[in-house]
Amino acid sequence: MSSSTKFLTLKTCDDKKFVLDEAIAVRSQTIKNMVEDDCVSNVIPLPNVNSKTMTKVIEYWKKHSEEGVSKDVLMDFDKAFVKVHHSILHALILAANFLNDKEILDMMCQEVADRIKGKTPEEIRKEFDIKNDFTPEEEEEIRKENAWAFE
Amino acid sequence: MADWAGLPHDLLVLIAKRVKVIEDYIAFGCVCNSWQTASTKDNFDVLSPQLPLLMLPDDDEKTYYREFYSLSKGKVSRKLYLPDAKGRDCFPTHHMGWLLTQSLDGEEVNLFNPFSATKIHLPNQFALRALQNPDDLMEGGHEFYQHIKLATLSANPSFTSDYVLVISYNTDVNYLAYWLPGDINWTLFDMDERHGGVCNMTYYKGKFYLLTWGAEIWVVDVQSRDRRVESHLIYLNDNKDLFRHSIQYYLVVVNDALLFVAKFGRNRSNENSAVDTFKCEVYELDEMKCKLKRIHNLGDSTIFLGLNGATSIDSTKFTGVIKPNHIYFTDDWIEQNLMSECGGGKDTGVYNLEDGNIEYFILNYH
Repeated sequence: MSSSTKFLTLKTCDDKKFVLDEAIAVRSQTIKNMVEDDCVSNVIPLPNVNSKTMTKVIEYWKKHSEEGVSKDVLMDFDKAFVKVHHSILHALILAANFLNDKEILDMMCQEVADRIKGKTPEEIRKEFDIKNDFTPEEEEEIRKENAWAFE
Repeated sequence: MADWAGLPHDLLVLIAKRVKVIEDYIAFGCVCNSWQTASTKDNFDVLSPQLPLLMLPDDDEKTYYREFYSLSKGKVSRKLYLPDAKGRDCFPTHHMGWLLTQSLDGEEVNLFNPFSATKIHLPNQFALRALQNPDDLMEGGHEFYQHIKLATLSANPSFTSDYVLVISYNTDVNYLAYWLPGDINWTLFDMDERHGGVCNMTYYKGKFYLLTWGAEIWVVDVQSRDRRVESHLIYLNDNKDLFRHSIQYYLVVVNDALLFVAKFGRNRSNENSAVDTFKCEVYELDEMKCKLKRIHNLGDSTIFLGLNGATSIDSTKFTGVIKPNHIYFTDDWIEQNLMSECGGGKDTGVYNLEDGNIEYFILNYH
C-alpha cells in the first residue's frame, strides 16, 4: 500500500471532469476493476453518467468515507440523500448500476419500493410519470384478476 | 425525462424484489408491461410478513368473488376471484395463505391457497365420521357442530410435503385427528384425561399446542415418520378469574414466545343476549414452571384474534397501518352474537393493551 494519496480523474458524458481520491473512487467496483487491471490512463470516461448525477454519487461516497462519522449521522444523511425528484432517482439507479456500487443501488431501489407503498397502479404511474401501455383488453383482464389492487 | 418503463429488466427485478407487501406487489405489476414482466411470482419474497386480511363470508349467490377487509385501506375493499371458496367455510391454518375449506354438505374438504389458487384434497367429513364410534356422534345436532372447527399446519405446503395437519371437529365433544400428505383418511388421536373441548391451537417450536375450554394447555407431538403421537398437559388452570363464562382463549406465538390471550366479554347494554369484548389479558407461558406470567406490553408486536386462530405481526413493518401493542379482534362470540337475532360482526375492533381502550370497526357483513 502506498501512503501517498493517488488521484483519479473521472470524465462524465457531458465532458465534466471530477478529480477524486482513488481510495474513494474505488467504492465503484467498475472503477476498482479498472484500477486493478491497470487499464487506467489519466482519465476514466463514464459514458453513461452525467455530471449532475456524478456530483450526487461523489457526495455520497465522500460522506461514507469520512472518518469518525456516527451511524446516526450517516442514517440522517442517507434519509436526506434519497429525497430527490424521481428523475434523479432514476439517473442514480442507472449510474449505480454502471459504476457497480451495490450500496447506492440497493438504497435507491428501496426508495422506489417505499414510494410504491400503499399506492394504486394509477397513483404509481403518476408518481413516476409512467404511461399506461396496456391495451384496453389487457387492462380489463388485469383489472378483473386484481380488482382489489385498483381501489 | 426519466423513462421508468424503459429501465433494464434486471433493475426492475431488483426493485420488484424489494416490494414486500402483496398488495403493493400486485399494484406494481399492474403499472405497465415492463413492470408486469418484472413482477413474476418467483420474484416475490413469499416469506415476508403480510398484513392479515379478514376474509368475509360470501353473501351474493351469483358471483365467485370473496371480499376481504383490509387494514391498509381501512375498509372492505379487497375482492378475489375464488370459485373454490364458494359456499364453503374457510379458516386459517397458521401458515401464510393456506386455508382449510369445507363445503356445508361435508362432501368437500380441502387445503386451499387463495393467492396461488392451489388446492390439496383432504378426506371429507363422511370419511372422518366413519372412523368415529357411532355412539359418540351427536344425534340430530345442528349441522354447524359436525364440522371441522380448527386446523393447524406444521409447515407451509407451498414449500414442503413434509407436514402434519391437525384438526379438531365436532365442537361440543371436540374430537381430534391428523392427516399426513398421501394419507387416504384421517387418523384419530386424543389426549388422556383432557377436560373440555379444544378451543384454540397453534404450532410452536416443532409441536402442536392445544388449549381447552377448561383453560388447559396441552403439548402434542405428532411424529410423521412413525406416526407416534405423544401428548402431555403443560398448564392446568389455577386462576379462577380466567375460568368463567364469556371468555375466549387463544394461543399465539409472538417474537418466539408462546402467549396465552384471554378476551373478556360482557353483555351489550341495549341488547340482552349480545356480548361485547371489554378487555384482553395476555400471559406468557413458562414451560419450565408450567405457569402463566401476566405481561402488559407487547413492544412493537400486534396480535390478531379470530374465531379459528390467532396470529401476530411486527407492526414496524406496517407503520401507520397497524398499531403496536394492540390486539385486533373479530366478533367470535358464536352463541351470544352470531347465532342470536342481533347478528354477528359488531364486536370487531382493536384493544389498546396500554390504556385498555377499545376502538370499534364498522363491518357490515351480516
